[in-house]
Amino acid sequence: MVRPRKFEISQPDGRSLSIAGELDMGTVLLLSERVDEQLRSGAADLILDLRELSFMDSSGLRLLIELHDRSRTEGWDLRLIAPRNEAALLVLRATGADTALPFQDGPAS
Amino acid sequence: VGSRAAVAIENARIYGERSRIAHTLQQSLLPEELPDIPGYELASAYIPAFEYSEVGGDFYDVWQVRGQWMLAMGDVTGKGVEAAALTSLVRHTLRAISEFHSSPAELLAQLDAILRKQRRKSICTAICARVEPAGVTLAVGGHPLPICIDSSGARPVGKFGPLLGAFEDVEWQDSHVELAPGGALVMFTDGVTDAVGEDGERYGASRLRATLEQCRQYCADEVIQAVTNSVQAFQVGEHADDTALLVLRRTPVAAS
Repeated sequence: MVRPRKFEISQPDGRSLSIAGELDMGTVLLLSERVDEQLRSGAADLILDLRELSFMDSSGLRLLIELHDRSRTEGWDLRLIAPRNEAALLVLRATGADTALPFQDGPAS
Repeated sequence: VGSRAAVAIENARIYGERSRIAHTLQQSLLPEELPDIPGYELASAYIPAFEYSEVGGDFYDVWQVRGQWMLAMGDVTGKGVEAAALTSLVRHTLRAISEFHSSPAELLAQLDAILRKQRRKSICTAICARVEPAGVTLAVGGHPLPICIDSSGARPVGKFGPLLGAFEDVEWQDSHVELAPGGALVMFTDGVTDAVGEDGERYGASRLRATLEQCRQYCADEVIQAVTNSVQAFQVGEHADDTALLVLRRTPVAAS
């Protein structure tokens, strides 16, 4: 059974990707591919706007950590905008990712 | 009395060789049967994900070292055989480190250091607990906080600590959790709270807590049954993620 899943990636400007909906094991690949596409097009920095996320699981978190590692080895700049959703925010806080990952305006709080 | 509630979702799908190996490996990483810990009851459940090859592995372990009982639970991120191999590394590393350190926070710190030396990014969550006569000392790394059930209700215990293998300059803290006779500690992985129900709603932490509130008089096996029944009744479709549950309950005082 395939459940209709809300997940959208939009690109408000050349260096930002806004993600809305559920970032989980079923959608994480879509974001990963979109980021690759963006980087292949020569973007030197990337802003991931997670404000409209309604859910994030450990596979979503893993992707954020991998992108952060990659940005440092490949020499591009990653910035994240924290989700507003409490549960998604809790995943970041409960894992220490709120302070370890490059959230814009300091740690997600 | 230790016992184990084996819960498995059977399905008729034919799996590829890779996923079959991953599944077999994963199962071999769980204790075959739970030991008897004097003064305590122990029960566990493991529900494998529907699509084995697509998800990481949950694990739990119970072992005795230098006269003390240790519990561990964790969730390895990653996929298939690779995740199963990492699970094996994590489980055996914790056991090995426990020969030299008895602080759960120290065990997590040492495990983190070893994970960060792996060539491939190796991330996992873990809870590590040392069983004591009247409770446990535990440390949590990027894992949902365990829930303590006693006569006053069900509440999360311990302190959140960073994910293992992921970040630099981080540390973990030990927390002591008292367990009165009949009190229980419930460890679970996010497969429980992330289970999807009608309209895409998630099972969530508050629903789990409400279920556990009803388990105050239950033995360890009954707690496991109550949670797995509740999650399976809630959930729509197949189970998407591995799910593990481990319950440690202090033996109640016999009614006189």
